[in-house]
Amino acid sequence: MKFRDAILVAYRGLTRHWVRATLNVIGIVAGVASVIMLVSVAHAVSGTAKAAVEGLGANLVVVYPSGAASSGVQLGLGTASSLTSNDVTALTNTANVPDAVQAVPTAGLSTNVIAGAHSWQTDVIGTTPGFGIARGYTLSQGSSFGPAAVNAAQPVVIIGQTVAKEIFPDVNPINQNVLINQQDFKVIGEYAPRGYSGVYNQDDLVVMPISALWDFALPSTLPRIQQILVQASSPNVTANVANEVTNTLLRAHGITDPALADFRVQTQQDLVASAERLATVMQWMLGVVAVIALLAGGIGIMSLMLATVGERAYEIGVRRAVGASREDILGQFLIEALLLAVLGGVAGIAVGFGGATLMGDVVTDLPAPVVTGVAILIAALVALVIGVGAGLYPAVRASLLQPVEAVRRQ
Amino acid sequence: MIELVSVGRTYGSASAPVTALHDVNLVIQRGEFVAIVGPSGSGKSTLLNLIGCLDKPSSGRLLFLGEDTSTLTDTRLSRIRNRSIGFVFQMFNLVPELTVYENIELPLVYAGITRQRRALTTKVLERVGMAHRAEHPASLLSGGEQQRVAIARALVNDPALILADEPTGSIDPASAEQVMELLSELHDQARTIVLVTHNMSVAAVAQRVVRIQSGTIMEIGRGSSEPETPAARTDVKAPAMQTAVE
Repeated sequence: MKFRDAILVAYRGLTRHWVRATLNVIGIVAGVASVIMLVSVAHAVSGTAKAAVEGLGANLVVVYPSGAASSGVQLGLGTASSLTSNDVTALTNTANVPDAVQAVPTAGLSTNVIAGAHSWQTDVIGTTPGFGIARGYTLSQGSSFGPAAVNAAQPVVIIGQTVAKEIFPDVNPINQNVLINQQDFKVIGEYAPRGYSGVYNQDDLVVMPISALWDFALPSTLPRIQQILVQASSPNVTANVANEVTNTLLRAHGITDPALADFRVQTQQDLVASAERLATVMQWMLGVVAVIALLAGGIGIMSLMLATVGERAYEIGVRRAVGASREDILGQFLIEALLLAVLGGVAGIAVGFGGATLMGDVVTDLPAPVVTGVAILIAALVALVIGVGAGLYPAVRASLLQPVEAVRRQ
Repeated sequence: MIELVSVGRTYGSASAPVTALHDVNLVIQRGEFVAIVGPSGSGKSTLLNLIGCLDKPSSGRLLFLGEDTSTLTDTRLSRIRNRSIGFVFQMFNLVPELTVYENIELPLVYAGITRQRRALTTKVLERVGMAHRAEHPASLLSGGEQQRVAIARALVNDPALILADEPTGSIDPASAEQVMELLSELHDQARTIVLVTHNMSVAAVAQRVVRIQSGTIMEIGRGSSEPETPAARTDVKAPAMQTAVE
């Protein structure tokens, strides 16, 4: 039998049983599309988690009041009030922390910022002039506040791009007033756009002198200092800085047992590692879900193919009687399975691509899924494996049918 | 051409065997027209399946063109079926999803013949008078038409042996007559024909009648030995039947 004829015979086998062929293709499409979508989501989520912590700055060591960061990547604001201005002063001292450039306290809350008829809920952060350098913000216009503004608790703010767009859609925000917690603040600067770090919009913030926040906006229930950002002189020395910070604060708080520390120190590398661990777990979980989906699909296809062999025993017998060998029958059913796999694979990749894009548009809380070449490769492999895997056993069964038995079953 | 030496065929498990044939000895010469007759369940279809290399004997030897079929591989047997044998079954055994044309070209497909395929297929289609139905699905034809297509398929590879299992059993009398005429013509063209039937008037067309009962050959009698015109053959049905039964 010529190879071209083998393809032709299989093709006719499929088109003349098109309902069954269609069901098979749908099974493969579902499997392949779900793999693409799951892998794309996993990829996007892990990328997001990493980007979110990397966006903090590679050379930062962050000090939280104890209990503030329970899960490593949680960047929630501090809840205990164990950090004080004295701690900041101690950490700024190069005798205590020789590898640090500066220590910047922050506190904040999520609240409404109002300008005229426009209101926008955002993160309002109180800090010191070093914040911009520590977090990598630059000004697009206006100016920052200096130490004098902190000392005097001046009601001035620097606003991010998103806030500027939301509450000053038509006017230049510089020298305008905004209302926060019934207090007027003057806009003195605007940060240059930073974009998203993962799902976190880095342009959605308002920054003011920490003393102004304490005096005018921060509820007494919240700790006065929620984080201290300690900037290392280079990313390579963050581990040293973490040790120096820990020792300094233990001494300052009169604690001898590090296990009893009322603060936590985390380097950005710690956070990246945590994020990566989380992402890995996530990818495995989605991988397992995909495998289960595939198994279910594969078994469905196999039972469909087995039923096919039973129904087509007569046809197989006729083919055997007119001269088809076992290999011819095996080949026919395998090529049928392969054609279904290719068809289902191609359609599945298209559906998966569309589905991933759609998912990004519909579920906005999810980072936009990224369809990678690897995802498509995996999906193509999957189509081949379920198609041929599920087709192999029925094909062998078909080829082993005795010609007489097959002809008898009319 | 075919020689059966003490051939037996049993089905089922070793503990409860069902004997379909035992101790069958038979020689079929090249160019013969042999009818195998017997009541249903007598083992005549089993015998035909063995001769047709669709099945292998459980005991004894079956020589097909000098080769012992029990020693041959599946591939070799498939090749013999493909090149040397044409089957005509009672239920036609066409692939219902395929067209008339596609059914007839099947043996050529498995033989790997590509260049002459269309010409050969068209030739036998015309021979059985079904050219006008070439693109019809086989399942939509009448019984008589289906059997003519089946005969065309049996002929397309120009086999030396035609095996027919109750070829007139499921079709109307007029079609049956056409089918028998076709078989006689094929015999006249030096093909070997083995025909299984329980109908004595059908068997009468053959040169030789082998009567089988309870899985063994009871007697070998003579059919209408002289090749005659189809019209003449239908006239001699009754006496021929007597000859066969005697």
